[in-house]
Amino acid sequence: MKSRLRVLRAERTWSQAELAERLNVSRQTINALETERYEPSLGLAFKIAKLFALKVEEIFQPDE
Amino acid sequence: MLYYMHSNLYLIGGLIMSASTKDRATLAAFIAWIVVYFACRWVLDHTSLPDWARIVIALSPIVPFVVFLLLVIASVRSMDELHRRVHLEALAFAFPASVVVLMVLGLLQLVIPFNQQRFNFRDAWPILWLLYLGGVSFTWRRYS
Repeated sequence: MKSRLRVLRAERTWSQAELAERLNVSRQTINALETERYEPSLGLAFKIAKLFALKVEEIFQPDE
Repeated sequence: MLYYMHSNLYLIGGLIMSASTKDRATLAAFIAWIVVYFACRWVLDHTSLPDWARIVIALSPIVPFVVFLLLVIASVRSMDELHRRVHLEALAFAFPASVVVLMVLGLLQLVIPFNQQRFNFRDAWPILWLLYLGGVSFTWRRYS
């Protein structure tokens, strides 16, 4: 799954730790999401979308 | 990497001290289990007690061990979704791998009688922990 999380975080100049704190997850989870090694649960995906005021599909895209 | 190491060591008893009260309680339960286990072995080997008392003493390490397991379970439940997934996948590896190890030992015992003084099936439990820790380590590497 493609993720725009790293770009969105960089636009807000947040560190991985800051984003992790805002989402109440570990920094390792943010790293795994950004490197596309882990696909978030639906709950976490909605939480991320809400935080960035975007739709889930604007952040995460299925692989072609 | 440090987190991964901590995660591994934590599960065999929280050997790395952290600021968390929960971690210290887990470590205390683990140490209590070790102490009670060796005390129980010593008492059984060096005293002659009635059978009922020996049974009670033999089962006594179960209490701190169950406390330890409950604390580990509580700790896993408090983790975020990625870490819970790592432990779940580690268990999914460790359980069938444990069955294979025990089956191999059981089948070998059909043809090679083990010297009970040197090896007993109860000595196999550290292998089960190692398989679990190996599962955590392998799975964690996939996500980090």
